[in-house]
Order: sequence, then C-alpha cells, then structure tokens
Amino acid sequence: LGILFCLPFDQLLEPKTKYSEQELVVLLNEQSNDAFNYLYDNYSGAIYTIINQVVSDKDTANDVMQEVFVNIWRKINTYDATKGRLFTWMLNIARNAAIDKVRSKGYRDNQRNQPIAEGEDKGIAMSSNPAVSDVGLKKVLTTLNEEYRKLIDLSYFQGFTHEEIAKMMGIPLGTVKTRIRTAISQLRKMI
Amino acid sequence: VNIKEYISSGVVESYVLGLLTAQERFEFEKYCEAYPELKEARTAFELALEKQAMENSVAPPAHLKQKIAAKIFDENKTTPVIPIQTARQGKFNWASFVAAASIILLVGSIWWIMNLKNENDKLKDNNAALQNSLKTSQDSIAQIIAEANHIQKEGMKMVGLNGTANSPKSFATVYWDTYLT
Repeated sequence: LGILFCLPFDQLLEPKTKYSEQELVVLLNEQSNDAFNYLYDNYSGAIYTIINQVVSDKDTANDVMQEVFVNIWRKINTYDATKGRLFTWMLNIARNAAIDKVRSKGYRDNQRNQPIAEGEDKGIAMSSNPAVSDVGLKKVLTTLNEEYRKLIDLSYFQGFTHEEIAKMMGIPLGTVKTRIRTAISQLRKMI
Repeated sequence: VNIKEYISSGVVESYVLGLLTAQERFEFEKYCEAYPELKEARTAFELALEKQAMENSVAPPAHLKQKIAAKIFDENKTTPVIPIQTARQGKFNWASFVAAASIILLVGSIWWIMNLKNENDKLKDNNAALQNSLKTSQDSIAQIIAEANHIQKEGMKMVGLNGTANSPKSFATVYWDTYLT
C-alpha cells in the first residue's frame, strides 16, 4: 500500500530542478522512471539532431534513436566521467549508432531504391538530410570552405577513417590529417 | 610535448568529436591527467559543443518517447521473466533428469538383484552338494567305526590261516566271535 501511495505522490512532486551531470549519472544508474524522463526531455532533441545529420531516412532515424536510448540506458555504468562529459559520451553513442546503421547492409540495400542524393561529387556523396542539414554542427559546417566541409562530413558524419578518406580523395594521409585538424580548429572558433 | 601547441593543434576537438585513433585517444587521456590546462580546454570545447547542439536541436516526433520508454521499461520488466523461464526449463530438465536417473537406477537394481539371486542359487546348490558328500563321508566313517568296534569286541579272536598245497601263497584272516559258539 505504501508503494501504491508513494508512486503517484512522487510524480506529483516531480522536481523540475535542473540536475547536474553528476546527479543525472547517479539517477540514471538507479534506472528510475524519473531518470528516463529527465534524460529524454533534456537530451532527445540534441541526440535526434545528430542522428538525422547522419541518417537521411526518418523511419531509420527513429529506429536509431530507440537504439541509442536503450544503449545509454544499459551502458550508463560504463560511462567514465574522467574521460569527458556525459553529453559528449551520449553524442558519440548516437553518432556511432547512426554511422553503423548507414553502413549496415540492410540500410544500403534499401537506399539503393531511393533517388540519388544531391551533392554527389566524384562519387562521394555528402551525408545530408535536407530537413535538418541546416541545424546543429552541420550549420556550422556550412561556414567552412568546401574542402574542409567535405573532410569533416566524411570523417565526422560518415565515419570514414583518415586512411579511407585519403584513398577516396586521392590525397596523402598526412595531408588529410592536418587538414581535418585545421578544419576542426576552425569549427571550434565558430562554436 | 609543447602543451600549448598540442592544445591548439585541433586534437582537443578531434578527441571530443570521437575522431582520434585509439592510440591518439590513449595519448590524449594520458596528457589530460598531466596537464590541467588540456583538461580545461577539453571541457571548454565540450560545453561549447553541448550548448551549440542544445540550441540548434530539432525535437523528435512526439510518439517516439512513449515507444522508447516502453522498450526500455518493458525490457526491465521482462528481464526478471527470462530467469523464470529458464528456471522453469531448468526445473523441467531436472524432473526429466530425475525420471531418467530413476529408470536407470531401477534397471540397474534389477540387474544387480538378479545377479545376487543367481549367485545365491549357485551357493545353495554348492552347499547342498557339500552337505551330501559330508553325509556320505559320515556314513562311511560310522560304518568303519561299527566294523572296528565289532572286531575289537571281547571274545573276538583273530586267526591267521596259511595257504594249502593247492594255493601256498594264499592267506586268510578269520575273526571268530568265541562268545557265539
């Protein structure tokens, strides 16, 4: 009975406080309803945005979204605060999940039936979802020059390694590395 | 390492965005422990990125939250169900294991009992044979004793009879009960 009364009462009193990241991590580790609500309400937008910058199809983006939240929920005990902020950790989970999905065979087979995306150049497609390409990091990207923009797109949004990019674009690996670093340094100033 | 150069090389941003190789990442984390200013630069970029991402985010479709919550909490609910199912299976397996073991034990016991019975029958036969031969021996001994008693009776005379001309090598011993004559 005590539990029956406590649950709705707890929800009525649902604190609208803003949790610090440390508090949120503790809350997430408790795996409570409140933890999920807070996590979703505060971070789903940012996570959804990054996913959509990698995945161009809405249904797939929703699937990845689900995958990402389940992963955050399950792997929260592996999050190490000394290596970075919780948000960074979640953002990288989202980006990796989205890239994995795009690179999966099922997704590629499905995309083959879709009209060819715009922005194709030398056979290298730009990852883009017209609806969201102008928000988030992508918005910042548009301020970079074409060369840097492509490098960031390939490495960050499409998950290609520097070696793969060097091969694709026919430029030396060292050049790829320095250009990406430079491009990223410019990004920092814009953010 | 010149930490100022290192910080401004773009490595901080690459680290945060997940663009470093494992080796570079490891190195970066090591330097972070040694140089507080590197860690500060990392946190500063993380916060800037977070702020930028938060301000420029697009909300997901409204129905998605419910779906994801159901997925997460249903899984949490089904998690204890899985051990129960396996426990059930375990019990079932255990029961059939016991049944199989009982049958094997039963067959084994029957075989063992039959063996014991055979052995017992053999022993019984042997015992009977021994009893028989013992009885025969005892009878023979009794007969011998009776004869000996008879010969040693008072009044019994032993007479040696030598051979006749016809058969000089013959010899006979005659026991003569003098009381009877």
